[in-house]
Amino acid sequence: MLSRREISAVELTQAFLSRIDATDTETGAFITVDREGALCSARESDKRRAAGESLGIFDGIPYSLKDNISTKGIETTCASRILRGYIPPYDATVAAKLKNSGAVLLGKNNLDEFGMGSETVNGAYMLCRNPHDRSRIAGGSSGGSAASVADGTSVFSLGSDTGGSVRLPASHCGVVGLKPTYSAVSRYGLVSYASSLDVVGMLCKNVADTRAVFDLIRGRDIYDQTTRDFSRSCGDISLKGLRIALPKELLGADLSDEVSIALDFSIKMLEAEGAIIEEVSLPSIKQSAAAYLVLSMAEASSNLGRYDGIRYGHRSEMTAETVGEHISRTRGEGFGDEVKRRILAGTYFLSENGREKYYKNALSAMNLICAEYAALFERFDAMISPVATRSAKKIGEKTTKAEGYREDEFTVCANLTGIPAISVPCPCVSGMPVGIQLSASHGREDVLFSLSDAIERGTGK
Amino acid sequence: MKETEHNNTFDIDAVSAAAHIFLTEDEKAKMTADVQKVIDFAGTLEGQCGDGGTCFEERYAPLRADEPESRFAREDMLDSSSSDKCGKPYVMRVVEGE
Repeated sequence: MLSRREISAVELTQAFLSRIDATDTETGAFITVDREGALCSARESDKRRAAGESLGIFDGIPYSLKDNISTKGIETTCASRILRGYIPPYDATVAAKLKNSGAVLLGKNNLDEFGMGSETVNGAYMLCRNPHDRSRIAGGSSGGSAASVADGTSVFSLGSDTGGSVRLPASHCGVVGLKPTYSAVSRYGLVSYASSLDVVGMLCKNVADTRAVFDLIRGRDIYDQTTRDFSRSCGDISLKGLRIALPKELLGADLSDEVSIALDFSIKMLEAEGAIIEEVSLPSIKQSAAAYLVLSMAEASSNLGRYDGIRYGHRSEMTAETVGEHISRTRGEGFGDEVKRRILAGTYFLSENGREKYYKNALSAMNLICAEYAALFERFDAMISPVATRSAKKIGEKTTKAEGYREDEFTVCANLTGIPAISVPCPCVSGMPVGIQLSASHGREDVLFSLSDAIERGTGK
Repeated sequence: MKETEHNNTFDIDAVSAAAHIFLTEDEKAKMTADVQKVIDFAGTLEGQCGDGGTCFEERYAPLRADEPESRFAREDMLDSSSSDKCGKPYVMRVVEGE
């Protein structure tokens, strides 16, 4: 429509801003809306298009970013009081790439504080509701990103995934959510939670959009030395004879009917195109939740040590006798309860006694999981599994710790191993969306896109 | 940090002081039980991981396979004081406070 001049970038952007005005007070997907900046970018896009100098398929397309991705000149809060008023002096690499493509940034999406949560109810500013049923959670921690795409208030959004935080809200909101291979996308400018697990991911309406956004933002970055260029293109591959593993540890009586139906549907779609699905056992999955918990909290304890109120962000106004006391009061006031819990636990895991008993055991568990997955992908091309045991629960509905750890088992292995994983929406049977998860070995996003296309075709999209 | 742990219980005063987070008495009461549950769950890893090893080299091997100039191959990027044969990535150096 933009290239055919049926609509201008300014008209398109205004339509999205109007939609935000109409629905976001109830949804809570945005922390910041940059109305002026978005319209300015849209005007520039229209000028380029009129001069025959369009920058490509993203030129003029409205999008949003999770509010833990640094944006020059636009407040970046991580949904935390401790970063209230913080305006980054630079763009994250992924933000710069999107800016350079001509895409129009509408604003910053809501999240659980510093990415710590799976419901997007832990933020300091407002909770995020599921657009399909506003009495239900959007999932987290990239709940705002998923909700904005599902609600039609952005075309696509970038989120971050440390233990499932792109895939879970994608499943709950009925959009596609990709966690790329660790190192495929630069983390420069992504506010760190757990640096060895964090990945910038994307949430889009469909698989084709996901593929396009991934192609744009991936690649080696001199500012992030963990990045590399994966040589495989994202072209289609044939599903005929493709071997797909179905881990039995992620099946069971605790799966809701809607999830079981979605899984059966996906398997049928893939088998119809010639893929071979085989049940396997991955016993180390049972250690994954505990390993993830220790490693992510330990790294969070270290990463969040930088928030001291000295150079930026919230600073306590209470008088203190020492600098240390001042920093402690600032952090006590600035962090939410969940963040404090995780920092305290992580600090304990890294203490003199805790390191041997917990941290090193968690590293061992992670290596066992990596070895098991490496062996799996010697025999199989991909893996299929649920994203969660059920669709989005009601806001405020209590779950036990055991249920929470069980949910982690579905998603954290992709972060512990670094492999790519995607959540693809399946047909709704209960009225609420459910996604199915596909994973592949490092750098094999092409396999994920081909499999996801097949499932998406089956839904009639 | 001076620790006074016995049988997996932790001292919230010591830990919050080490983490530089001021907690009110109400917060201490609320969080002690919560964090203890997390620690207890983490303790379930004990004896379950066999000889999984702790070296980061295996984890990042796929990233280094065809990258002769990766940061892991460059001596100047490795922590020369480390006894670990592959050196330690930045994350590990930070969390261990080196």
